[in-house]
Amino acid sequence: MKQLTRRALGPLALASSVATFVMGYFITPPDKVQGELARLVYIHPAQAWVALYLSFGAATIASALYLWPRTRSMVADRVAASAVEVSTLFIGLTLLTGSIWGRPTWGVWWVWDARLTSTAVLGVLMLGYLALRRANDDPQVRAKRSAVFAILTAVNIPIIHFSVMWWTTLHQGATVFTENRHLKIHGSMAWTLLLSFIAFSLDFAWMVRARYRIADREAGQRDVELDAALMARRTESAS
Amino acid sequence: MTTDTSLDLTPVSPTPRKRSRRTWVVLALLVIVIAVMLSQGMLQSLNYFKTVGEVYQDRTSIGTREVRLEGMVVKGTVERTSQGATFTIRGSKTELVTVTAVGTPPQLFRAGIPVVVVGSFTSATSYSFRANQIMVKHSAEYIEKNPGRVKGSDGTVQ
Repeated sequence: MKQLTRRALGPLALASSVATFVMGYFITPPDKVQGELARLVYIHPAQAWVALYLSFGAATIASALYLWPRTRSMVADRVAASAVEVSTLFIGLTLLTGSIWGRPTWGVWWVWDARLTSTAVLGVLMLGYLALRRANDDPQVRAKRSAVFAILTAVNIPIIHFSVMWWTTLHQGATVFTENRHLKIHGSMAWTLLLSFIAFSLDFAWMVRARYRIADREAGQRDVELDAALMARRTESAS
Repeated sequence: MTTDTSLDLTPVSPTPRKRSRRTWVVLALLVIVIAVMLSQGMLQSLNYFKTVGEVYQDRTSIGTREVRLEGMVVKGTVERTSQGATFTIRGSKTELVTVTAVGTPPQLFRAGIPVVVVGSFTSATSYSFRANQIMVKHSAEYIEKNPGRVKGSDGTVQ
């Protein structure tokens, strides 16, 4: 069963992504105000969902698990690192597709409103996280520092989420997670939106798994290299 | 991890606790500062625009400085001019501001949608606004182009 879910993840991610594309591009109707531009709703919100909540949420939980007294699990550290790395890609895509959407609808590529600014700040913080991971080679020191950094960065997530309610922003408010729990999208558009969230979530899971495997093997290789280097020094001193 | 016995395992003195305590003090101070700023409404400047209704409540403090102003474009008031467009925007009640905009409006610009205009009032007390930029603040609502099939949350199609 476990083997089956492992094998199925890649094909499922691909199939749901293709289905989202077909539904979003060909089947769903154009929007009354935005016309064909509304099709970006099947890409941009799902990317933001993955970048902010799914991957950064996973990274935060993994970081907390690492810091939990006496855990210090390198598995948690690697999950956090992989999730942030994938999240950085998705936040980049979120900013890019948002900008492409903003130009024809709002009339501007970018505005410094609370939603866009806080999201850009998160992107910079994620780059900071990745830089921090390169700053120290000791796995335990690196894991501890980056876990603390990830948890501090997570403070930004609720700020981004509620920014459209706390402050006036050019960015629109919520469509699905509205304050009065009233869906503002219907019919095939709503189902395709849901499908896009599933598709991008599966893509995320598939990418994080691949990244985790690489991190795992890199760590294994590091130990092998260290052993080899130690052995070389020992034979040197013996001769 | 390697288990080689040739590793250096001599004891090292732990980092003094004092340093980590200082970190916590700094963090706590930061949290307090942010909490105070939030509670005192000092983050009001993070608002991207003022609504027409807000302007009507406190017109004097704005004067003629540059602001971003949000309102609904009133139907039947949009006129394209050689320089741009003139139209009236309305607040959530019946407050009105007449706007003279310079520059090409965005492609989604039309009557009946909320917009944000950037510019300033023509005099310290007037409600006529000179805008050098129009931004469309589209709603978070998605409705099929073919009306009748799906209606908006309030039962109407915009």
